Amino acid sequence: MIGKSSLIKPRLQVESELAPSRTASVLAKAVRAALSYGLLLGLVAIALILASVSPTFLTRTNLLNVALQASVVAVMAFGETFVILTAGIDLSVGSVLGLTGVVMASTTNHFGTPLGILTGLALGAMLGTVSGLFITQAKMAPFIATLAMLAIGRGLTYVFTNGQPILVHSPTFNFFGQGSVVDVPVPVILMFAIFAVCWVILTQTRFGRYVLAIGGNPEVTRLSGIPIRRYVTMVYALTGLLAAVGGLILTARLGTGDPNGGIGYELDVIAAVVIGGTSLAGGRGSVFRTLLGALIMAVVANGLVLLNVNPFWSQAVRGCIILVAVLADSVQRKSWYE
Amino acid sequence: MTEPLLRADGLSRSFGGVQALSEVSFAVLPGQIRAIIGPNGAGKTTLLDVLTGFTPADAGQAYLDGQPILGLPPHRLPGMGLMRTFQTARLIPTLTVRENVMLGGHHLTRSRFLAHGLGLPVARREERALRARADEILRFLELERLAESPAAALPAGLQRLAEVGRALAAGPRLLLLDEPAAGLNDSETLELASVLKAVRGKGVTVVLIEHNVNLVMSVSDAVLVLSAGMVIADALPEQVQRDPVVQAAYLGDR
Repeated sequence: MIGKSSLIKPRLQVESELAPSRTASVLAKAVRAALSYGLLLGLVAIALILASVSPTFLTRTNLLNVALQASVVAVMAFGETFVILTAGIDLSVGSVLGLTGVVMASTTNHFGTPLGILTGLALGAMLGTVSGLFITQAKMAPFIATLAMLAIGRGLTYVFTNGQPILVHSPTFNFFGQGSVVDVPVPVILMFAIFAVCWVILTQTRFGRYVLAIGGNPEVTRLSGIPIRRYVTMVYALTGLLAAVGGLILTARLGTGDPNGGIGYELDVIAAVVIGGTSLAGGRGSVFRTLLGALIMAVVANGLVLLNVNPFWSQAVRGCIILVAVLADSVQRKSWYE
Repeated sequence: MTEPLLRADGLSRSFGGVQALSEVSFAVLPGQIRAIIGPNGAGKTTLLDVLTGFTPADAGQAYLDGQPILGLPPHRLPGMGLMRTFQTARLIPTLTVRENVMLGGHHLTRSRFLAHGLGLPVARREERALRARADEILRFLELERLAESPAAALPAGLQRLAEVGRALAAGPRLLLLDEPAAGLNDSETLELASVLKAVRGKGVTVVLIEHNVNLVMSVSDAVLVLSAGMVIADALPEQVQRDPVVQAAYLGDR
């Protein structure tokens, strides 16, 4: 290096200034760990309370049932996490689930399971790409573009089915919802497998780094040479694809392509991401936290059933969990910034 | 006669009634460190914003190696060899210093999303190459010990240095730096000066917006002086220092 000798002395001074910042970074790590850990603790605490009041809760059957209940929302929420990390939102996931579900049911009946599933997944990715293109090329707000896709997707579902459910005849197809491997339901296996893939994509690949960068500062990311429109479009395609996986699981579980499948799921999906603490402003969050968020929602829903609470309460309780989770997150984050 | 690396030709830009840039023309020769100075509000940052497509110009064009660059999508600039930094460092706070530097190398890569997602060998190889390149740059800037720190944890001066690292990762021919010495103490500024000279030593041309007169005088080969959006001097550092017009512009400002 040129001018090395002249660099040495000033560098010492810079190093000494680093001491507080290193402490700060350790502190930041600790706080971050505590936050993930806090979410985990919350889950464990809820589980302990439920276990103490209901003998059924901690049984293997019930826990697998909880995971099964969480699976559809969790898989879709992994995709939604990517969108929210880019400071976007996808309201169309429930409709994409509905449309891909009935299309899969129909194509499976006509052309067999492999082609049926592939068609559904491709359709999901395509619908996501369309939303993505409206957002990146026509510069529409994600909220608006995906709100339109929510309506279009549901409308097409009704047109396609004439409002009638489509019975799936293939046991191979239904295996993806009703089957189990070593006593673990296939949807639960799918949920964990997709979680692992999304975790790797987000934390270990260039694509994941760009998603975080786009959410952190889109202009700087673009000026670093990254074509952010292309990446944002791909993120919506990924979310559409995972909504179609949700469609696969739900349709296979019911053995029926239900034209009303997935109505209102977008709220549960976004709630799972938000409870996990992923920032709606983009750039900060993780799929692990989203998994915890989805599990917390499923555990609480399960607890309300076990405790024979009037089911009309469940929506209100879910809302309260969102408030508590976001409040806890913002309080802890403030204490670290100040 | 050497061809200029960067040539600005009659750049104008107004915001409402304020003429931020008025027919600004200049040329930067390859291998130079060119300083742009001027009182606050002279239009220095607007000039960088126009050159990098942040702000469209009302009139004029700029050429990098003879190629027009105004109107290009911003993500094309690194591929053409142009990178910039900002007055307040704009790093991605949740990424580590190394990951921030790696962002700059994007245009050198070929593999696309499917290859990343599937973990294909080509993507892994590129990822390793990007990482090695970032580490080399961090060693050059003596930031290697901070490679794993989240960018948000660095003090402002080092954030700015890391931002220079991100710009260098693109392998630029021309580096535009917006007040890199702001907020640095004297010894850090001295260090920055040697970094800049070393960068020039690697064949990178540097355009530097700066308030710190000592830094400007010690590193720059030529100085462009802006005042109220107009070029009032374009000369060697020592000539600019003695220029009565420049002195008047600065004194009138204070």
